[in-house]
Amino acid sequence: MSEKLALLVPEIIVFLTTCIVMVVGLSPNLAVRRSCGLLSASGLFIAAILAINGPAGDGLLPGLTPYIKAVIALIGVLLVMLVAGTVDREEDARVSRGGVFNALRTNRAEFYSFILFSLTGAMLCASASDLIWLFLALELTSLPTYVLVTMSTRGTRSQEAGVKYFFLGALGAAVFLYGFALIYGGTGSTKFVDIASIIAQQGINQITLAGMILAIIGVSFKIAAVPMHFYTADVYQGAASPVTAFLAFVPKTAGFVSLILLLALVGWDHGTDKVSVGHTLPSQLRLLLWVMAALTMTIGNVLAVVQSSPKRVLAYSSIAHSGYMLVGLIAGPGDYGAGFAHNGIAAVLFYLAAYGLMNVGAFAALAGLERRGRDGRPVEIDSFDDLRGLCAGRPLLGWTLVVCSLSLLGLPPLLGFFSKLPLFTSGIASGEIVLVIVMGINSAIAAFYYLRFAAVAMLEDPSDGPKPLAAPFPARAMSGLVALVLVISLSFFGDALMKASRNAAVVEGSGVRAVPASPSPGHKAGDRHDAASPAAAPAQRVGA
Amino acid sequence: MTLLAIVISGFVLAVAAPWVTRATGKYAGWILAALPAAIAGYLISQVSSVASGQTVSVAYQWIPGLGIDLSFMLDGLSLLFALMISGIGALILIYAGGYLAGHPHQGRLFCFLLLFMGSMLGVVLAANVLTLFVFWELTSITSYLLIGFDHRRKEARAAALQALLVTGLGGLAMLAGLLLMGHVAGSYSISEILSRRDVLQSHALAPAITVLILVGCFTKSAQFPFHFWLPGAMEAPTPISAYLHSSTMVKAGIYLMARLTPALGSTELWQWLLTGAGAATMLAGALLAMRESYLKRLLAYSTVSALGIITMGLGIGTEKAISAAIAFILAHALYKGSLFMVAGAIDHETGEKDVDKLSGLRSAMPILSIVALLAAASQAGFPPLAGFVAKEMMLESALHAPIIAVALTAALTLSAALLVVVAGLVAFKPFFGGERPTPRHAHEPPLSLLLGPGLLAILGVAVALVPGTLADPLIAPAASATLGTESHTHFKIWHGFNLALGLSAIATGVGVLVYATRSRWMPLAGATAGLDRLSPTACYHGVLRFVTAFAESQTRMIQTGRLRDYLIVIFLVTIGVVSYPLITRVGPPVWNELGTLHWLDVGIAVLILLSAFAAVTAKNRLLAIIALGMAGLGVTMFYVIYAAPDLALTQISIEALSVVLFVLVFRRLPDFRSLSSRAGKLRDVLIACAGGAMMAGLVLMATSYPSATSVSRDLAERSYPDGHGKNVVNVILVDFRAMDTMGEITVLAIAALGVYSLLKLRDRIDEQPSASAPSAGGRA
Repeated sequence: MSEKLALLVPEIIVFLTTCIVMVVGLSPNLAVRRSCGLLSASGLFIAAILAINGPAGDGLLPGLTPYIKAVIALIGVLLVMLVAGTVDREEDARVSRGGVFNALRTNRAEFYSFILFSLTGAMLCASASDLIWLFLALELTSLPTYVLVTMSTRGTRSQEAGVKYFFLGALGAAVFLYGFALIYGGTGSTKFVDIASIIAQQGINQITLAGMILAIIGVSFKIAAVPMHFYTADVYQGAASPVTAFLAFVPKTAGFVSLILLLALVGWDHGTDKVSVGHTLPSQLRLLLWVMAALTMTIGNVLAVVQSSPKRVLAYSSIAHSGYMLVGLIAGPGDYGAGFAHNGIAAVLFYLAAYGLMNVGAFAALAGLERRGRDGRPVEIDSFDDLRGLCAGRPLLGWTLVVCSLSLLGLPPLLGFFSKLPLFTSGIASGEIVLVIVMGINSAIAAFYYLRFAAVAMLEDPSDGPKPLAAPFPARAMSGLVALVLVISLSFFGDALMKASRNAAVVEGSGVRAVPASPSPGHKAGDRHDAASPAAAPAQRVGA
Repeated sequence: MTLLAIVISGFVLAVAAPWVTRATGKYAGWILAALPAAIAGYLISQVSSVASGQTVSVAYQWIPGLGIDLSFMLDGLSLLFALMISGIGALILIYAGGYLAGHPHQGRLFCFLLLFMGSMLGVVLAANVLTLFVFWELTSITSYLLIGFDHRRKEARAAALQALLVTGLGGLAMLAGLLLMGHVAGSYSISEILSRRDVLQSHALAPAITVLILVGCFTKSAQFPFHFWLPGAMEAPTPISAYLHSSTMVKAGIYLMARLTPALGSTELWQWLLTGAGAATMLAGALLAMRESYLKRLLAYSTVSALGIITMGLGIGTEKAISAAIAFILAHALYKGSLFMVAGAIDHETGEKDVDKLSGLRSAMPILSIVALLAAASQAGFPPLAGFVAKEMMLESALHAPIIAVALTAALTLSAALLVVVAGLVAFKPFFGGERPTPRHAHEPPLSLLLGPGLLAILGVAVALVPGTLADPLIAPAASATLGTESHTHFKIWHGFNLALGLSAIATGVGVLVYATRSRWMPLAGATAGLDRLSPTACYHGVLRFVTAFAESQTRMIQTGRLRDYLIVIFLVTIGVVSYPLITRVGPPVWNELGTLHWLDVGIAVLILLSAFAAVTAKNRLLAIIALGMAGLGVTMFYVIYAAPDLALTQISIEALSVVLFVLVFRRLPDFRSLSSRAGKLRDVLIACAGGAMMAGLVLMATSYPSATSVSRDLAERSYPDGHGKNVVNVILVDFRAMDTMGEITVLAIAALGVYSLLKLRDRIDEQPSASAPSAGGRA
């Protein structure tokens, strides 16, 4: 128990920060209230450092735990900076004009604590070594986001988005919970290590398979993948830009971590022979993920092409990015000890970090601008016209937008290219040539809309009429600047992060299975045989 | 080390260029040109050692995890291209200094030009295909920035985007090809790949690799049917057209084809694709040029034609043809770079771009007219100029081509004739004949505008006159690197009287004749305008429109915004996917347990079903909630019957609590309204039944696995001794799985907090006078 607690130190730190923020945010003193963001960021930063130096996890991918926690906490710092000023802007203005402070009219305390709760949940996902734990962690990630969406703007659109998000989220949770129950029913355990060893010894039975399918479909809600992607359009649009950036990263990361953990139960085992690529991901799961990946990236990209609002473009494209990452999940970790370029899981882990940064950068540029609405209240910018000539007018925001959108497009030599490349190479190495080609075509479609950001900001002149104003929150621009610096520097010195993600992607389970001292040597031989004949493999294992 | 410095220095100077420009004013071009001149000087010093077969190479780590390193090599092929890039680069910088003197964004232009030069040098020096790709895409981006340099003009922006989309999409196909090639060859290093010819060509993916890589090369080098972006790119200022779109960037595709020839070349697919595309490009470019009267677009189409000739030469693939292609690359870079700069100078000094309105400038600009004539004569293939030698070599190899030699020779002769016409239009027509007034008073351009074209034109004469010193040391090693074996073909001006010379004479004669009588032919060229609807440009716009229209229809179809539509899809997908393991299940039939049912079980089941039915059909919310509670109680009774009183107790309290909560919340909502049609209801019923069937199937399947039940007995036995509690459920909750319970409590607490904040929000929104009426599903 104490070892588990040692593992949870970063989460505990964030949780304690949450409690402090919840109290501080209610202070009658405006300056104290405003320290919520700084407090949250510091807590997350400390948690990140503790996670980096913390112990490895006790699940199937021990290295994954510290890596993902550190990534979530660090990008969490940027997200906390980005959400500055989302709530309580008018209330603060009223109080500073001499109004009486009323704790019931402020939302800052809950807002920041929900952000931190959600981040805690995502970090807990990485610590999970048990199905129930994973379920709770996923719920902890999602529950606060429903509220965040609803309270992020004053419009009824946010409320509608919140309700939709909640309903579909609850449905998704029910689906994967039922899947978890079936996995337990099929294997008799909720512990990842036990489930994996049972499946390794006895093969996967139909009930476990049904459970895995339901679990994957349910979790696809978190990563906004087909068939649970529908909410993205309405929800991302309804939420305030900084919250949309949050939604595009945090639940997605939690979802991918869960998918990696779940698929590790079944294992990939590519065998040792590189040429005769052998999937031992059961063929049904592979097919399911394959179709999900192809549809998800295509739908995301196609929908993004026609959007007229930059925020919606980024929102839809975030669906596409989930599709790309699914390719890495299908490819799996490759041969035991495979290099970074052939390890699909490492590719996904790296992509998550890279996407988080690029996403923050792009959204920071949008959130750094605002217009005056008809009633004089500040409103978000909502058209590409507002971004025209941004590089000349506001160089910091403009170049952040240009670099991040080109990087999201995957243009060399930017970070996005180096994070997409291993998805391609690991896909090819695992024999998924067709899927890789689908991904290539999709990257081409993505050029249509990402280039628009660059073209509008760089080449065009500002439109006539009132120009958008800078949002009066320097923290937002600052988060964009940090993201910009990181995106550029990781483009040249990204190797350390790649090594870290490579180490995080070592599946202990497959290592265990590669050791000949397995209790059933006869079955071991069967495994080898499976690897050599991919078509026959799943049928044999399922029949076992 | 030097190679790395050569590539990096361009980028470093690019960053400094705006400051240098600000500090040195009108001398900026001359000063910045020192760097490419120095690079060219270094490369010239390497010529003799490279010609003797030595290869310089360096490697530095960049991203080792992905096999991307900063590794560069200098062999015959790289040397030729790098020399053209740096040498012409220096001249272009000087030219741009004069051409855009006093332009407010001149510093930016220098910056982009140097960025481009660094990227282009990276492409031709890279020793790793992925590194090559990185620089390749950088040239696309810098080209985009340069074409869009005059960004106030809409046409310039559209042309820039078109060029980037075409070359960028081609680049993606190429990336796929390069990755597959690296996968098959087991390495991304160019020298490794070139040594694995057998593995590559015998692999099943070989055709895919070839096609994908060639798509990239064809788009970049403006081969038919991707040639259309190049004339559009003429929106760029002339120094850029002269540099990127005639002598360097458009040759990147040619470079890569030549580079990979030892690995992928001489297969049938390769031969047919290259000769086919090359011949089509050559003819299309030459014919389309006949319809143009703008100087730069004329030159652009003749560039397209020349690029086709080079590709065709590479496709023919014999030793002679490869040497001819390499010779053509050099000759074309010299005369076309010169002609573009001449065209820019004419435009700069007279303000007129239309050939039809230019005449008799000879007296106003005598030096420029000599330069123009020299360069144009090389394009027309008059001896003794580089263009003549290259044309002779190409005709000779087309005559001996392994496939469709006659057709290729005929096409080449026709194109050569048409190129004579273009040469006459761009260099003869403006300078001779009667003088015509121009928008600006014509006079001789300054030295900065004369140096570049003059030097290149003189070089065009020099390489042909002293080929042993100037041409052979460059062309022979490049041809050897392309062939993979030593090349023995020499660049010489006189090959004796042969068929090629005869054809050449015919082409020249026909060309001169057509030029002289061109007024008769022009209507004919205009008549082809009707074919424009089928042109690749039209296809490009068609694709753009299709993507947009398709995306719009998809958006309307997929994103209806109605929760119910979303749910239908989600349910159908889930049911469909999960049914698969259900239906394909092999094992004991699950129905054999049904025989042992007690009448009480059946009774409760009927009760549950009835309550569920009532819950669905109820007209009143309260009724629906109560019916739902009944169904829950029915389930609890099963627990009671099957001896799980602890569980039943827990379940009852939860049921009661949920009913109370439901009632509290739903009390505020209006009555049900019937919103769906009969067909809609039927569809919903069917989906619901399918979902129910799936759940039933899953439950039956789960119960047929005995392993699942073992844990409960174990927990029940351990409950009192380990947990000191008699209620098993409670012991599980607070002891065995205490951690999970804590997690659950946390989640619940957060949910409560969420509800509280939402309630606060409601108060705030009520205060707003402007808050509109809640939309569908507004407030819960």
